[in-house]
Amino acid sequence: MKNLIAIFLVLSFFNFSSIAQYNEDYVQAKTADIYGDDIKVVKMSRKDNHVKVKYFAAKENGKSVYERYRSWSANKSIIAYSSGTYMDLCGGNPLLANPVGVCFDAGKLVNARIKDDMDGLIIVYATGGVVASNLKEGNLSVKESSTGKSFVLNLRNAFDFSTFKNWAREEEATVFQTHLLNYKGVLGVGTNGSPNARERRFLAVCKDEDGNIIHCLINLAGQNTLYDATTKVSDYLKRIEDMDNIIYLINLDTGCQDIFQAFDDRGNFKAGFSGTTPISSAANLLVYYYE
Amino acid sequence: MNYKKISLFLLLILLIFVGCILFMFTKSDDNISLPPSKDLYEISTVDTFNIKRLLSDSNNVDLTTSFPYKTYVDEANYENVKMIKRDIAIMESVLKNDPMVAQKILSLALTDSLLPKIKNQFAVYHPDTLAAFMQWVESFKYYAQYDEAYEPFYSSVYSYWVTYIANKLDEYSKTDANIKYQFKYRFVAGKCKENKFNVSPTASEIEKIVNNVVESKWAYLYKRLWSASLIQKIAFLFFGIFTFCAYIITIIFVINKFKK
Repeated sequence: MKNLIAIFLVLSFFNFSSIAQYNEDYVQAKTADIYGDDIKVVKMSRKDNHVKVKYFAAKENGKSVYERYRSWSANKSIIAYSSGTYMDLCGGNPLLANPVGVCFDAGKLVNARIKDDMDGLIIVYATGGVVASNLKEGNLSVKESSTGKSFVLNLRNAFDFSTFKNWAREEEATVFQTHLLNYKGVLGVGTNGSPNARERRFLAVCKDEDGNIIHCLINLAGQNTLYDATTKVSDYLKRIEDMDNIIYLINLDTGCQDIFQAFDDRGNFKAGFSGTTPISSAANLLVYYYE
Repeated sequence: MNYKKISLFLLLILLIFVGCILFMFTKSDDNISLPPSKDLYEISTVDTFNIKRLLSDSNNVDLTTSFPYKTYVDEANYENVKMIKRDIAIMESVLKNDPMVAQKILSLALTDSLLPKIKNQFAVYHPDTLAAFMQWVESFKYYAQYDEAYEPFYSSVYSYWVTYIANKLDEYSKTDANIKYQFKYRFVAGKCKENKFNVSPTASEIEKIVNNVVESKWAYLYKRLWSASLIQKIAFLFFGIFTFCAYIITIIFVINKFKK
């Protein structure tokens, strides 16, 4: 009998270990109330490089974003996913939709058109890191891995943009463009921003008091203008989450595609941390996973 | 209740609706004749411009900033890509220290510096002007494919102007959402799209609703209804009541007919 109990305990332990999707020291999902708004926050620390990002920019070779995600995620511990940047054909068939703004998917050009009214250029590296650049500043720094040569590029300059396209192709970079709402602590949206009051979702990348890089997926279910939501979230990150500084805050699509889902540490859907569009309708997808 | 009167009223509304659609058809531009492509011999070969003079006039310390861009776009025959290529070659022979400087300078000249000169042509939607301009822009794409040495220059000019055209197409569709169905608009937009410069014309509110209905996004429509303006809510309510009444009247009419 004792042996049986011992075997049961050992098996339970291994079973428990295999189910755990991520270490809660690095990932926390929480609900908060800011100025009467119910917000959901998935807070992830990039410390020790366990938390990584993957971006599916578009369909590929006839495979939808959802199909690509399914085959890729088979052996991954998913923390959360969300729709990424905006798409055209709003309300139409997502399988026919294309991203708005310049976009590369693992080096493959999806959209070569830079949108003048979106200042945020996001680069997701194959290693799971993600950086943002303010196109208004015109000082995007990229490095050629084969030669080690670095360039500082202003993508609003046609010649530099041509260089960037070659770089993205050779480095197999994943790139997308969106609205940059806060960059290095400076608000990028004014009261003249989109006046539509609606649900909002942001990706915030901050530095905490210990100098660790923290990524936060923040979902505001209430109806907010872009400016109101940005100021509320920026304030929340500073005051409640004690972030030392906000490196950048970008907008994620909740209009044409409102895809969002967080998972608990057992890999189950986390109740309340959901969007209204099923993932099967994804035109693009930002995925956080634990490794 | 007098069903005949109600039926006549509904029929009247239906006729007005059909009339509106027919009126929209009469407004649509279905002209499919595009401006003819220019043959090589039709492209101007006027060659009175001497770039060497511009180089000697400008301060050689930093030519990227001191180059007289405006003079170049005013005087050079930039319609003819062969002549631009010749200008780059001349500049390269003068500026031997950095082989890319000449390409960078003429790229700036034919993009940001050329824009103020020609942008008035595109202030309002004129599809023939856009289509003709697209021909000139596309010539840079073909040169980029066959002239490797100057590929960065050709690609940058091409990319800049196709982006500009795509932006303009979006802008025009904001003023009139129906132009995106016109043949010439779709032709130019197709040229942009085939080279991965996506055009995202604005969808009108009605188009968005229709799209969501077609895709059966009922939950989304229901959610949007609650955040809609009062006028939109009244319109939805009217539409709902109208549809409901039409069904009820039809059912009652059919039942009465069977009873008789």
